Amino acid sequence: MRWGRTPEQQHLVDTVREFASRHVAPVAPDLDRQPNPADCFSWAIVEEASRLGIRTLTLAQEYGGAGVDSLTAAMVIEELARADLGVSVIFAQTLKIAQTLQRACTPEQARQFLPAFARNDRGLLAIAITEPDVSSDYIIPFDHPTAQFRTTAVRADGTWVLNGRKHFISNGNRAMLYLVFAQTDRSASLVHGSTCFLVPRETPGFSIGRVHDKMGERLVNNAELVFQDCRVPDAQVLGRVNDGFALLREFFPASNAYAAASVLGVAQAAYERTLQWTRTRAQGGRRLIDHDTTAADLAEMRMLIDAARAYVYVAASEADRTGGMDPTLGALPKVFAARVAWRVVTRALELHGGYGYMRETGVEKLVRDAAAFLHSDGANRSLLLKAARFIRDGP
Amino acid sequence: MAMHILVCIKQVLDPEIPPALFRVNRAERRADVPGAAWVMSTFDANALETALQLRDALGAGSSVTALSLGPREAETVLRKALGVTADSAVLLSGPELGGLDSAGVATAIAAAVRRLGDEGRPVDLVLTGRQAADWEHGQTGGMIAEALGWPCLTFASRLRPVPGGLEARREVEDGHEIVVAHPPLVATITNDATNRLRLAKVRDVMRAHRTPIATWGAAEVGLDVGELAPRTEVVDLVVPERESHCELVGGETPAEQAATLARRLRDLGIL
Amino acid sequence: MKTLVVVHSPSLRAGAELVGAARTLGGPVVAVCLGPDGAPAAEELRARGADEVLWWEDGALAASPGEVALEVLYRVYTEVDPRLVLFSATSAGRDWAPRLAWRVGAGLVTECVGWDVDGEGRLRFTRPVYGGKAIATIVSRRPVQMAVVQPGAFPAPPPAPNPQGVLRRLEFPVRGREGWPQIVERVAERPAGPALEEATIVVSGGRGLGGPEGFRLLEELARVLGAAVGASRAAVDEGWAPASWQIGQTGKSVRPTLYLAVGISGASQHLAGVRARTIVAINTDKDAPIFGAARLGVVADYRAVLPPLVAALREMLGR
Repeated sequence: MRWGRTPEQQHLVDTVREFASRHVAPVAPDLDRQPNPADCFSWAIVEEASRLGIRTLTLAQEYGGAGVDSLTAAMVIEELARADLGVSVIFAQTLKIAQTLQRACTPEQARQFLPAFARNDRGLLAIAITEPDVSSDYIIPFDHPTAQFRTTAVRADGTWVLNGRKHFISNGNRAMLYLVFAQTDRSASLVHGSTCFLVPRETPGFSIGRVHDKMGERLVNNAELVFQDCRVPDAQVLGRVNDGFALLREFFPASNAYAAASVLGVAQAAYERTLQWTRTRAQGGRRLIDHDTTAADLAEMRMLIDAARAYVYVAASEADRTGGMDPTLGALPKVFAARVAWRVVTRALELHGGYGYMRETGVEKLVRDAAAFLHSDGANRSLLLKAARFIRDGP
Repeated sequence: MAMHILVCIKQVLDPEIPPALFRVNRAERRADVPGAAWVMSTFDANALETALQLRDALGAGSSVTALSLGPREAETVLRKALGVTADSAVLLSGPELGGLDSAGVATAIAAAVRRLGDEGRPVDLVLTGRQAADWEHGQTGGMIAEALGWPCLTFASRLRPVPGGLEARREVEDGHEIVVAHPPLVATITNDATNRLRLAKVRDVMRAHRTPIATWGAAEVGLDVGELAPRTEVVDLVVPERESHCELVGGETPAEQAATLARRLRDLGIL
Repeated sequence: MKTLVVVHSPSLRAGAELVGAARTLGGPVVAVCLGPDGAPAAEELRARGADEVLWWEDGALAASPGEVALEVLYRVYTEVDPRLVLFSATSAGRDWAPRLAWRVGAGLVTECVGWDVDGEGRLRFTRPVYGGKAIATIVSRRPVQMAVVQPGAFPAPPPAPNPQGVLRRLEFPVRGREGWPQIVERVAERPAGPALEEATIVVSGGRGLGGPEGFRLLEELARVLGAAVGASRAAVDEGWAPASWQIGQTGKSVRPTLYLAVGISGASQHLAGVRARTIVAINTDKDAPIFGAARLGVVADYRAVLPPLVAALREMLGR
């Protein structure tokens, strides 16, 4: 099934598959097992991906990138995840933030940040929203004055001064540039009183805290970010003051689709592993796949994955449409893909029997990886609530 | 020295299809695995990498043209070649060019080489893989050389420019030979630690899909059908029966398994 | 049917097999032998049943074997006028056959593992295709048939005590032409143990070895067993083993009694080069296709299995 891909898109997917099989798949199991989370990350993978142009896939051609659309980016993200989820997330974040940056920044900001991003083979991006006390509040979103970012930005000496703490931030300890959301109007909710700041890594007053030790998705690092009187000039406000949320709404439309594409790749990997296993493993006098219940399981896996992919492709295509996209496409594809992936990987684990439980087989890694998307990019229930509001309040 | 290198690449059924999934249509004497991927033949990928490395070593003025003979779908492998920076691509395709044997393919490719010469793009070096990953005849390269009246270097790898010509390595049974050769020349390429096909860069992939691929039929290369008549014919194609009885050697530890294996080898009279 | 058997003297045994095979077809069998030590080679071929052996030995062959051999063979072909020409599937045979077939307009079938004769006396050649996943039967539609035959496809006939054939040294010179490739150096990779094609035991390593050090372990095992060491294409592509160790229908074909595959997945292209009485596989992946072809299998990391295996065999074999 070719999924309506153009020959060029199929060629790109094939190229990424080849990259992943040479540079990611051979090292992923060992990296995943490193006890120190910082040791799970590989710059070699990032640099090779940069050399091939994968890191700058969504950067405009005038800056040296490929300038592909969101659908093509989603295809690449899924293909990377098929080899390893963490590696996919490293790039999903960077690709989507690069898109946001290009759509929202001023010409001066573009000059200041885009060329440096283009030429740095280790140039990764991060977006810092989540805090210890703020997560689903910004997903739903909870538009109440009590729902505020604890990271604040106040005016002092003609500049902004940031104080606060973020956590669980993907690429948090690896990025060269961060999009940081801080509360700028203490009388409003985070929906109407937050601002997005462009904070380069080396900014004084900004430091990296601990790197989180995660259940899975370990090849991408998530970290705490600490702001202590971190000074950021007006010129580095992205979008409008107090209108950080509009940034998310207007310039992040593909975010949900990319998250869905990532976890979908894990489901695809689990399905392929299980297909191969059930074709060779025999019990009860025949191959597992020749038992009707198992055959039906595989058909169901296939059905769910293909349906999730169709949803991802629609959402990614719509994200680039001028005139805006159906807002439920910014919430539900990830929920569906995450639930599909969870069902697929747990069924895969079950069908592999005792072998699946043993680490050396590699199936339990897929379970630990897929679990990330029960919450990542929005807890599923929060996203359902978000979509419900559009349905309730919309036309 | 500048060279125009022509690399012949064939699109074949994925050679990695496991034996258990491989089927043939016996009546039509062809492989029949619906849904299987079609890929660049393995040794042709080595030949392409060899060509690219040689072109890059030769510097400005040299170029690589990828050529494939096959149905329209073979354009995919030509795009793959362009995607790793081959400079141009030619597809030989058409009803008269279907179902050819090695001699027919060699005839057609030699005719394409002559046309390129007539167009002011004379070919200095023709590279092919040592054999195709599907039918594995290993005849086409040598026959192209004969059709052109050129020398042929078989099982070559590591072509590099030297004063006045090319130096190559040739793999033989008990080692290898170092050979100096002079264009025009045909070389069949074998795999080596140095010639695995490089990964494509995104921008080159996108450029590849904007590059026109010339398509030539028999008429465009000045051939009539009579010259393409097959010299050989496949009269049967079957998948052999496979029986497998593998005894997995047990043991709590690898050391125990090793000891058990040694014993089983002795008990079965194998050692 | 008159058969011409083309022999490259360094691969004499393979040539002898073809002489024996040609004899079974009836009709005169002429052998042409090119290469060093032509005289004793010619005697050997006569002893195996050739009615006539022509041999050609000249320094020019060493310099440009492909082009020089073609000149000689074309001339011999024209004089002998055979209906069938046989080559061995060696680097020389695979090089010469397509070119001679083109020059004389014959139909050529390569990599043959056998044949039968149809009602009209035509040979129907069988050969593996698709990496050994299928067997094809191919015939020549031209009056002259040519085949490249895998060593070991036919048995070498026993030498006759009183061979009656004629020996004739060919004396015409072949002048090298400008533009012909020239061999400037030959690098022999002599294996420490027996040659792969002749070995009765072969131990072979693939991608699963993870690096060149794995082959040091295999060499130790080979020493204890008196075996030859081989490699899969993947290991050669990684640079862990030289190309002369490559087994598969694109490398060497081996016919051992025991073939021990370590860290080899068993892709059909590799196994197509292995005709072993017994295959034993050591691999961490229990789903690897090699276990479908093996008689005995060990699912384990070779690094943990080989050292105790070497020790156990050393004791068992008293080495």
